[in-house]
Amino acid sequence: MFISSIIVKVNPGTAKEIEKEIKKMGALTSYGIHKDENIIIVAETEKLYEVKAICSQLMHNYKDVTGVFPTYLTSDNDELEEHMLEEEMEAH
Amino acid sequence: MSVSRREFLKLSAASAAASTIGVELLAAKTAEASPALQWTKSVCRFCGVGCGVMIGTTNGKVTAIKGDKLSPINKGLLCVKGFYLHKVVNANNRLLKPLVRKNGKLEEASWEEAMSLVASKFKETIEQNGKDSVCFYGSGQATTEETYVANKLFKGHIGTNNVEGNPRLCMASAVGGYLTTFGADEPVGSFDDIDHADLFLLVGSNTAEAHPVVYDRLVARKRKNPNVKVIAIDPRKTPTNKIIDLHLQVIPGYDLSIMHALANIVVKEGYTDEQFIKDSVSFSDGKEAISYEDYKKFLEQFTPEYAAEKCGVNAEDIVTAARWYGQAKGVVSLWTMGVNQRKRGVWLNNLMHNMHLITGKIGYQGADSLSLTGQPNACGGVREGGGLCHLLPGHRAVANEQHREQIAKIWNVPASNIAPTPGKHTVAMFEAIASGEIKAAYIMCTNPAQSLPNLNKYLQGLQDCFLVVAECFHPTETTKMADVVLPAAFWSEKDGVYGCTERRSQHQAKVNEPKGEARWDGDILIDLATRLGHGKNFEHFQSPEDVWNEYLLCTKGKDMDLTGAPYSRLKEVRGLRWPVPTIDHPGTDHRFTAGDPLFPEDKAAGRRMYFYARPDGRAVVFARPDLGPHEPTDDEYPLALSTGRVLEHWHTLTMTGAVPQLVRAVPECYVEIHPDDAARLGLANDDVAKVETRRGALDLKVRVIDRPRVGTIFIPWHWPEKLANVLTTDAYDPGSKEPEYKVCAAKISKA
Amino acid sequence: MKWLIQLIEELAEIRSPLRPPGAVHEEEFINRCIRCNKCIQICPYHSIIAAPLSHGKKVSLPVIVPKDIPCYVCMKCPPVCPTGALDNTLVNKQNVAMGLAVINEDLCLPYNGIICRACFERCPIYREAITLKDELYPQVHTDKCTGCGVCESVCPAEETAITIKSNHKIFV
Repeated sequence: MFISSIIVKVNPGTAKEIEKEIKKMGALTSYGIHKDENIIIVAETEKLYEVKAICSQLMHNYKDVTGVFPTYLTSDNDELEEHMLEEEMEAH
Repeated sequence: MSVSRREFLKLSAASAAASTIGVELLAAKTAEASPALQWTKSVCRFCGVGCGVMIGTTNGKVTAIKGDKLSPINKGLLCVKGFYLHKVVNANNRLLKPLVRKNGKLEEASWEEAMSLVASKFKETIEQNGKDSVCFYGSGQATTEETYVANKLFKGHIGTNNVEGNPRLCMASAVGGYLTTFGADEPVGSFDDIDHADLFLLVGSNTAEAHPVVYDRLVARKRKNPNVKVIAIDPRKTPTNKIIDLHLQVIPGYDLSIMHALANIVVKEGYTDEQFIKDSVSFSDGKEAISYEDYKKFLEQFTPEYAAEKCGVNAEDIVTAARWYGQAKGVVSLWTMGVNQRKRGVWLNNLMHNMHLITGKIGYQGADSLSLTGQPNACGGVREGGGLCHLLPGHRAVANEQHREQIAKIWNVPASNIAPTPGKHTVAMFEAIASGEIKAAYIMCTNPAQSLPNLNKYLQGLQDCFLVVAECFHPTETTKMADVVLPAAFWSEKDGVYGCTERRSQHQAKVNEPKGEARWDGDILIDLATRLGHGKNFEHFQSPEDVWNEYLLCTKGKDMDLTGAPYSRLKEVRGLRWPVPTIDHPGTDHRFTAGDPLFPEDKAAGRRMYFYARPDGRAVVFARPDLGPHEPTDDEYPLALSTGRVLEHWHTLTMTGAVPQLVRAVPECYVEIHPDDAARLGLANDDVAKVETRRGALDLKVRVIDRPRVGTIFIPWHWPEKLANVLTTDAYDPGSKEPEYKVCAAKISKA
Repeated sequence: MKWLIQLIEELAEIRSPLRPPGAVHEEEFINRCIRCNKCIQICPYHSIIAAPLSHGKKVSLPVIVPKDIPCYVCMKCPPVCPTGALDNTLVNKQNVAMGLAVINEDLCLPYNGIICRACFERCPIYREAITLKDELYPQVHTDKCTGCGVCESVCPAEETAITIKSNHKIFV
């Protein structure tokens, strides 16, 4: 299980609506809107690539999202490096 | 992993993110405190189905609407219009202060200034030009109480029968049909019959869009019982077609011949109920009584081939329809404007009833001849309340001396106050306004400057006469022309009673205070009555309930007895279907038969149905000629034009136009044209086309779709920017005086 | 952390908005489109706009924002594309696949007991791409839906219940 935090930058004034949308996506928790244009969300995913998928989804689907920035990643066990390695291997 | 550890990890992740944008994160998210929502039972403001709604209020403000699960009509379901009613309450086109025209411009004024102007103008006009130089034009959307007060003031105290209402444009032909066939207005059965019928005959009704909740009941019935069939006679394919098994897509205006052909086959193939005909039916050619044999002979000319030729459909389909009709255990006929808004609207209504009478499929569960109404209180306020120029409250007529005496007594005026001749019906009234014969008009809760047919003929007159408009919304096409506009309380801001299609009277609850300086229409009229010197007969009206109680006196002992329906009871129950003569009577689901409290067992003498509103207890089957439309198509104007509705909007858009979500759904007017016609005329989707009739022209966006029949076009009439009624004809049914909105000749070309 | 940097770089590249009907795969589209604006000019409904600055590197490429003005699949734009960024051979609106309408049943009015047929009624692939289950509940047929977004633009739900998801899938 990977836990990552992502800052979603949005056009001013649209944050509330986008946050609502985000709340409807599974595996995401919102930690609120900050300084009008930043939504802090935390994603819980089984696979690392799912974080990427979530980021791209956020980018794709909302025209008012101006940027998506993953900022932190951790795992609920200590096998983070191992997982990353595995996934990288799979990808190649 | 324990949840708490996960939560901790999530929080640290979030904090990391927060620190990068320089904010501190609150560990605990505070739940938004939501103030308590209160729910009150009421009835929907839109069409005549009469859906029960629950109004949600927060701190005295209407914030939500939901369907009333306990309502026997809609069982919790709503259509998208009703769902957004709370937005209409708070719409920004609500009028908050009286407006008075000064130097050509409407300016805000005090109530005192506005009302004293109205009163002095009316007084002056009556003194100089007589009682009949003023008029009142009301609405099937006003509460029964409001129409009652207007009736009492104009007919009883001013002494003019120039009292009309927009139901004249909507269901006057249905009234004419019920009255001539059964002797009394309004349906024999109710919506409940839908849940038991085996066959539905829809004529001129786009139920799915105009009465969505009724449509849902049809769907539910069909889903539960796949043998249930639906026949439609309609020039247009509509969303309703999804459940239609047999569609007779007719040339508009000639369907009287089909109704006769159906009867012809039913008689020929022995599907008639001879016992019922013997017991409860008489025959007439419209002038005098004829025999059953005469009627049969009359029908002979209406072969399926003849009707098929006239209407442009298959003769076999007519035969199939007739057989289905004959074989079904219970038939419910449903119709709306396609039957009523016709030059021969009353006759066509008669023919709808004919079928039920000769087959005996009426007066029991699952069999009824049910006219759907378009406004929430056309039945209650205007038909029952007598809000038309020839009527008095409680299904009475002005021409009847006894009726005048009865009502004059309740109104506490000499019977001579009430004129014995009918006043001007709607078209005549607006003609008189246009000619200057009527000099002052009071319009309440309706928008004739958009809804009258052949508008160009009437607009100047409205401009010129002294026009008072009491309305919740501004601007409307009508308030724009007014000399005085009075802000009226809206639906949720007043108590009142709405009577829907199936004879059901329901209480409409006041849940919030009127916006701005708005007052309920009854109060404004009482004010006017007082200023005109008639105060003493109105001063006991302190609330809508007081008015209702006086109105109940008018219904006592009548076929529409509502004595058992005072406010105290109506507030508790989900409406009552009259006759409901006593406080413990449950209401009536079928009239003229056992179970109807007014059913005279003795006179009926064993007969299943006795139409006690007719002197001989027999309903009349009419042998009427199958006349066509007033304005048939020709070489110059080769297309037949119909106007109609869409699901998301209602009438003149004063309400649904204020809800952004509904505007978004259908933002603008368009003209529907069949792909074949479009190809022939070189029109493509979203082109702008000029639609012309002998009365006017309109540029509209083209929607190419296989809905209208080839040779016909269709325009939804809701938008004030595109007044579809500059095109329609004001030729009217000689019986009901209802104009033929549904058929006129037009041409279309690329603009 | 190398992977994170890589991820961010990737993300900066992959905004895939709704392109006009007939658009080739996003990456190829970007390569082929010369920003000649022909499709934007021919669009009779102003559905196609030049991407604003917020689209980063993809600024001024043609996009459709269905919530504002949807595509009415009139099929006027594919033939005018000079570079094949839009498939010139596409003439039949039934074959367009810009995206896919997705219904959120929590928000959709009929699923909440409110009769509404706005998306069904206005869908240009009428009675095919969206149908009504039990004459009440709208359902999108993925094989027929063109992704034009008319449904999204007319949805009267308070929060739009039917939205277009771009067909362009990066992580498949």
